[in-house]
Amino acid sequence: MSKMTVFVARKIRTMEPSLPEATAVAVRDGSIVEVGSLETLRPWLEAHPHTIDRTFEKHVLMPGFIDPHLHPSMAAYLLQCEFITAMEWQLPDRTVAPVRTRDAFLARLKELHEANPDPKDPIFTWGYHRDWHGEIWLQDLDAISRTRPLILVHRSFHETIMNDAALDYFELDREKLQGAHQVDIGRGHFYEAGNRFVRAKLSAYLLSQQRRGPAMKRTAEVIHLGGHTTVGDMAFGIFDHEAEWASSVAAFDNDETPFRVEFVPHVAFAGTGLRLEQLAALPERNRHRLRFGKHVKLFTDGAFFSQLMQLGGPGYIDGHDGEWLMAPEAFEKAARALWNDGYVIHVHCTGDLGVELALDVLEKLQWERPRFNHRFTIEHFGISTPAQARRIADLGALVSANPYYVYELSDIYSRRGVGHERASQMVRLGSLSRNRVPFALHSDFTMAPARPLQNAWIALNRVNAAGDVLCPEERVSLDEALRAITINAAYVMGLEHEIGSISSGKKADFTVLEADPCEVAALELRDIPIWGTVFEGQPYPLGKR
Amino acid sequence: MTSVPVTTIGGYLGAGKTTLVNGLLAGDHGLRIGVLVNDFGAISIDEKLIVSRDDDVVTLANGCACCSVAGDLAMALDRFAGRADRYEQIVIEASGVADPARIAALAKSPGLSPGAIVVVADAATVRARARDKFVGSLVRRQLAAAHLVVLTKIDLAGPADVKDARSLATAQAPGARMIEVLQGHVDAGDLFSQTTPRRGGLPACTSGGLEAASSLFASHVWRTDAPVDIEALRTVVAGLPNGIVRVKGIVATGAGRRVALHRAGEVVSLDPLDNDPDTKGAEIVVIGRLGRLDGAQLDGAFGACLLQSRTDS
Repeated sequence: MSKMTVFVARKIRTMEPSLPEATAVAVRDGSIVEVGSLETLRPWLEAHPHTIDRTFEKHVLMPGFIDPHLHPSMAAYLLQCEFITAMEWQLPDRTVAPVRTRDAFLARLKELHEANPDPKDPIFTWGYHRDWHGEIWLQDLDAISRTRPLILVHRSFHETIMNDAALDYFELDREKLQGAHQVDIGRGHFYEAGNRFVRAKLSAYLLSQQRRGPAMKRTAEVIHLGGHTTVGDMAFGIFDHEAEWASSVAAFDNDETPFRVEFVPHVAFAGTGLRLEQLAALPERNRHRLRFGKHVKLFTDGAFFSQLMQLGGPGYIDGHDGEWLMAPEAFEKAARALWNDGYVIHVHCTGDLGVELALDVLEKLQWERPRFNHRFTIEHFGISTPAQARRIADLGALVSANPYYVYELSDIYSRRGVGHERASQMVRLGSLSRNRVPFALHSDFTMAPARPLQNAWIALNRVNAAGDVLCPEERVSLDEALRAITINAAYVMGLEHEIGSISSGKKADFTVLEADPCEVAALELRDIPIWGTVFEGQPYPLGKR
Repeated sequence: MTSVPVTTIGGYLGAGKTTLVNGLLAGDHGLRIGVLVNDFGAISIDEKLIVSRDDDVVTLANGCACCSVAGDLAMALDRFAGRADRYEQIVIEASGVADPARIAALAKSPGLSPGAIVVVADAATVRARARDKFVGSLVRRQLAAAHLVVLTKIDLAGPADVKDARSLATAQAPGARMIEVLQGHVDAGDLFSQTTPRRGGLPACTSGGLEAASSLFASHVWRTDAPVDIEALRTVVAGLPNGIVRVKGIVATGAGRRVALHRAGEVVSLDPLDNDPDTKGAEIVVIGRLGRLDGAQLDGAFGACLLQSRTDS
């Protein structure tokens, strides 16, 4: 048994209602011995050798933040791109300021080009979106450089625009691709189905053996930057489970990593994911920081960012239809097998019809074989109805929501998509609160920045990127917002006995803040600087890895 | 390199797409067909017929090959297009939740050309699916994309279902050809005899192709509200020609009583059903080989069994 360390802080927000505030926490062998004050800790301190660590004397400790739903393998791809985005993004080495006009986009790209001394080195950018940046084509990129490959990856990942040098670099045959579906070779434009002609080549370049390792390291930095000490990889096996496992082990299974990853396998459909019979053996791989529990991921409807969620009546303004990712019967069949085998089922649901399918199936399964404490979780929770919030409560289900939809999309979806009523009420956390449904917040990174404080800020304020307050009736209290990134996130992952709050016996995981979330103004919550984290008793300051 | 036509087979889960694909792979049609399938596990390939396995492509003795989509259909199609010189025809089995029109558009690609969209629908369930709150609009959209609708399992569906399925398909895809089959077996020649859609329209029905398709079946429904002479009906059904493979129906026999009428092979049976005062007259579906099923002749023969018509004469 090693020596005890006592961290003294200006304030400790434990997120435990029985002892909400404290000023000292004793830690040994990665776990919390006791939390309270130096006064109340005295029996322990008198009985055991210890050191008092006053590093955090002016800081506020919270339980280590938890994001139960992000995608490290996708992040590794994205983080190799230069961000030129309409929204602000905080990255380990810089904060990307919003770029919201065509001129500003091209100017930023030119800057990046001129700053790179190697004239042949390709530049990938991510974040281009016509709504903000107008039309940019091959000719505009050629005007910046005819020799350096320049590649614009669209914000949605469904489009690519490149210059002549990039067409040459990736050996794209202009003549052959002339007239191909959803390709405009003359403008260097590949979109939707046409994007397949470039996607494999870009992936091969960005995720090559020598690039993948450093990219995963950057992913680790992003996770640390947000103040996380636990994250969920909420679709393990989305590309290739062995490759994902190998790169996760290589990047995260070491003492430099200040967080653990809970892997939730993506159950097979349409040729990706893992088959049911492959699931049982996964926990045999568990390592200290990388673990499988008895959780699985299923899907109902399509992507929220692409307006492919399934909506009940009256649907979309333009009349288009959403998509089912799994056929409803296939979803039900898989859910039944997993339910009867005791798994906790997480279901990606973006539209209200997707939520409806998940709840219909849950109700059937409850009827067939009742389960208590099943923790069936609706993931994302974009568009839903007020009645569904109540039904979620009735069925004992949970929600892990992505509040960033409200921030980035509520304005656009009001005007083009679903109309003001439903767009303003997206991610209706207030309704969940009124119905006493436990909910967590997630980023789905790379879909949204992995910043728990920003997500809590959105849940608390419902301010969107345009600066408007959207449906204040769906706001939640500060306590609920903070619970959603700590103890309730742990609950959704089935880990509330280990992490998510600061109390005796739990993991000594803390997020160290420069200000107290309960003292700053509501609108300043997201701006609280993060000093770093403590993972299992070990301090990990930001920017010093 | 000439471009290879790509036929898309769509339709909702359980409609019979895989049965159709299995039939193509095992068929003695003389065509070298490359098939992209959704779920390799569902494909039944006789091991004796496999001549090679190359990456994820299985090649068969008859020149056909089968490749799993495994996640990304577009990428799989491109891998196939790279070996397009080996195939005369490419077939994509679309996922049950895909819009076949979007899948077919993928064939607008170097080395390929878009062919017909074939949508498979289970005659027994398609009507209910088209009204389902989760998949109704998807199923209707799938049908609307069809150049050729294949109604499957008509031997398992009730006559009313078959009729409903037919009118649904006609309403969703006006002008599309329709064929009706037992189970899901379709002749390859029929799928590919007019694979290129006419500009702005739908492929024409070539009766020659249909006559030659020995595995193809059609059905005919006869229905009346008037009372029927059950013994006369039994005689007519027993005397139907060889091309008729199955007859089934429900016939009212007076005072709310009714019977189920079946003919399988040569055997005609009449089985009493529970009483139902709402059943009047008769509804009979006749399934026969295409070209051997003469609707007008059947209507005439059945019409002669009406009690009413005999009183009048």
